[in-house]
Amino acid sequence: MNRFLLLMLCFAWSGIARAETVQTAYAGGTPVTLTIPVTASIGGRCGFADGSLPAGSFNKDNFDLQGFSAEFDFSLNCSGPSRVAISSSNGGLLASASAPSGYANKADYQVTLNLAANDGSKAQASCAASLLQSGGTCSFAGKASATQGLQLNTAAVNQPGSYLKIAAPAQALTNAVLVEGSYADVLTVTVSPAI
Amino acid sequence: MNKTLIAVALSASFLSSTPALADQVTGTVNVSGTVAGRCSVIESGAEKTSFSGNIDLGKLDQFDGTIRPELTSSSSTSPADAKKVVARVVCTSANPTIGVSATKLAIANATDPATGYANVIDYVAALRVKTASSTTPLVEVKYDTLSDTAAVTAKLGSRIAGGTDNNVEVNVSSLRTKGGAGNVLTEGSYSSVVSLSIAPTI
Repeated sequence: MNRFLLLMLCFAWSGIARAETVQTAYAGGTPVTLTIPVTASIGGRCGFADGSLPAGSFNKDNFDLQGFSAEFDFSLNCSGPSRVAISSSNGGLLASASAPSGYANKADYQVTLNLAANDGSKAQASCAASLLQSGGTCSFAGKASATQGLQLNTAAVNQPGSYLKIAAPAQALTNAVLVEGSYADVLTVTVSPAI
Repeated sequence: MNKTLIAVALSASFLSSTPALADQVTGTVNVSGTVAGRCSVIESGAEKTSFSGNIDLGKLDQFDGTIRPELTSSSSTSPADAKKVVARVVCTSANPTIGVSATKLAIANATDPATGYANVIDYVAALRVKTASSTTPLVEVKYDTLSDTAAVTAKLGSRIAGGTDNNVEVNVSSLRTKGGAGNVLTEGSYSSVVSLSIAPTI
């Protein structure tokens, strides 16, 4: 009876089977061969390495005349494939001042995401910040999930080399004139195990 | 035998209990910048801090040597010889200040001529600026060389008109011979300078 209960216990822990263990049991002196599925899984360990988040602040005065470029380095810590996504709160640098016809109070800029894996492979993509706002069509827009975001196909355990780059040239003279003021945007970067 | 089964059971237990870590980790990047208050001239696809032009009125006198009357009767809305200098100016500031001043139209370094003659002409220089306001689409400041001694300025009251069209016009009008319209203009080249300013309001 005890043997039976232990066998049942094994079944109860099994869950989704991927490996099989063959065991031999004896009942009344007659050998009985049992096949016991043993299931195991390890959840994707995925995040940013300690102290190496894609976080920080960047400010550029007179960016309309001078343009800007900045890079935020970070390290992934993912035991398997991962995905990284970015959302932009304003879809560009936005000022609170109103902009009449012929003027603008929002300046778009380019966001480049580069992911580095342990095996040296990389994934890189670029999108305008305007495509990273809610509902944006950029391939890595929104929140990272198993199916959303720029995918890195292999592990990146405490792997440096990943970065987020923001850049914009000086505003073209043919563009609407940006109104005087302070402009801001917030990029939120998320990482998730990938399928 | 029991030992074997227990070992299998424990192995399965260990593997299943390995935690699946949080499926989303977040970093935040704050991006900011400023656009300073400024006004610039856009000319030939380039940004400049100034612009220049020339208003050549040609022959100033009529058959009797006095100033052409149409130059005298002209106004800022119907300027002398319909001539003007235009430009496109952009200002990031909401309410720029515009200003104009001018020197008299005269023969350089000339001394006063005899009675009945003149070599100085006063006039009105006008700076006309289109705005983004639907209620006040045009603001004008005028400087009369006869009566004004300091630059005439005004706040635009709204943004300067946006877009790619010229939004600034300079012209001259109301030319008046010094000493009276009956004075004969002396021979020579007459010149003057109109100075303009369009700047963010401080």
